[in-house]
Amino acid sequence: MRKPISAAVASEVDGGDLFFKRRTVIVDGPDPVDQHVGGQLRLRRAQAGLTQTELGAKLGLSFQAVQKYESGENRISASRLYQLGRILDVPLSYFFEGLEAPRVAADDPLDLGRKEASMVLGAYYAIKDPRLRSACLLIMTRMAEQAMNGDATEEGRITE
Amino acid sequence: MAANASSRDVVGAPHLDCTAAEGCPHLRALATIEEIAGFPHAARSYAVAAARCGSGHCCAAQRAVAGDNVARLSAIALEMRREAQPANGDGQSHDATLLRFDRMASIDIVTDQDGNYVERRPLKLETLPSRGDSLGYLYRYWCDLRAASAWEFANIDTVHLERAGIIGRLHVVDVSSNDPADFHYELFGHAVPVPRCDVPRAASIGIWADSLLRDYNTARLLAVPRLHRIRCSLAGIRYHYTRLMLPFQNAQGRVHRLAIAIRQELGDGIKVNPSEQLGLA
Repeated sequence: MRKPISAAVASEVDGGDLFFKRRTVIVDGPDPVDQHVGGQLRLRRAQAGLTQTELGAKLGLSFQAVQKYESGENRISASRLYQLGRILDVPLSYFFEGLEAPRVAADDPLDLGRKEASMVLGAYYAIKDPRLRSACLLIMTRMAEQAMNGDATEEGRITE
Repeated sequence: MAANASSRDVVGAPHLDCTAAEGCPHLRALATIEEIAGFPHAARSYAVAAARCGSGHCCAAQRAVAGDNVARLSAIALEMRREAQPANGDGQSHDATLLRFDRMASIDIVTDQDGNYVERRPLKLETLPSRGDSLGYLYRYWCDLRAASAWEFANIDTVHLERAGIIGRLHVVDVSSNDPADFHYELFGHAVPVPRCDVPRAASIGIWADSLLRDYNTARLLAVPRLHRIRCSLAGIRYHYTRLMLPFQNAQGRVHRLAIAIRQELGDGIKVNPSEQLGLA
């Protein structure tokens, strides 16, 4: 059973709740955050003049494991990140430097719009009756037209 | 056929011009390698460091700057370059090892009407010295990757390239095309005297382009390293170097990149008196 969430990066509509889509490296590729952390690790390792083998030896890992951390293929656990920070003599925040701060929906209308669009589409196609769907579409179209003419209130409700 | 001593002039001698318009060539090379290997984040950082060099902040000067990641990156790269240099003086004599020159039977020589010639001598990989040699270091590193079934270019570790002291004398060739003549250089070693061309077949001298394509194809198709000693005279310049070609596969197990490392030998990049070129003497 999936757990509903309040804010989703990738979301779908299912019974009115938002859900995370499960990411897999094979299908979706490495997570961008993991890639960023891996990239920072790679840079810092090069700065320190350590090979992957040498860093792996300090961690008790193979060089392939370090490769996978650097490419973001394997996610670095919190304890490992702490270990890496100590070995490479950097604070934990170093690994996240340059990463965009998580977007707040209210600060990013475009992102909010994308999520709403996904929800609206999901809700629209969940209506089985084609006449009701057409009616919904008509209502939305009219509301959009009025909004473009400046007739909508701040809350988005129609004033008529 | 000896070159006239008075006409000798070493061209393309390895040097680092960090104030060049494009920035530090060493760091740019690292940026390109990281980009090819699929690490755009690291590539960007190296590119930024290279551009800073180009804006007048020399690597050496940046060594003094503390607390700046990019500056430190540049400085460390310089430090590694220095460490990669062969030791001079007494230290060298203690570490010196006898180099075997175990040549293979077949020597291929081609000439043309303009006096150009290309002599290619395949060498056994076992002849590469185990210590103190950039090609030997690189070959052993490749063997380690191969043994671990990790000989993809994405797995390449630039720290090993730095330690080998091969940056600047390393080409990376994209051989992913099905067309046997469709290769192009993604990275062309900035310290290699041979004139740069984007694709091997664009080389101005036909016999030179043919020999490159043949060797690159062989390494690609056989998926094995190849070592050659090259002596050639092209457009009035004599080249003499040892070339190691290392194949790298992609995730599908197909060779898609060649890393070509060059070790310059005595007399590389020497201008030759035109009258001494083959066929004109």
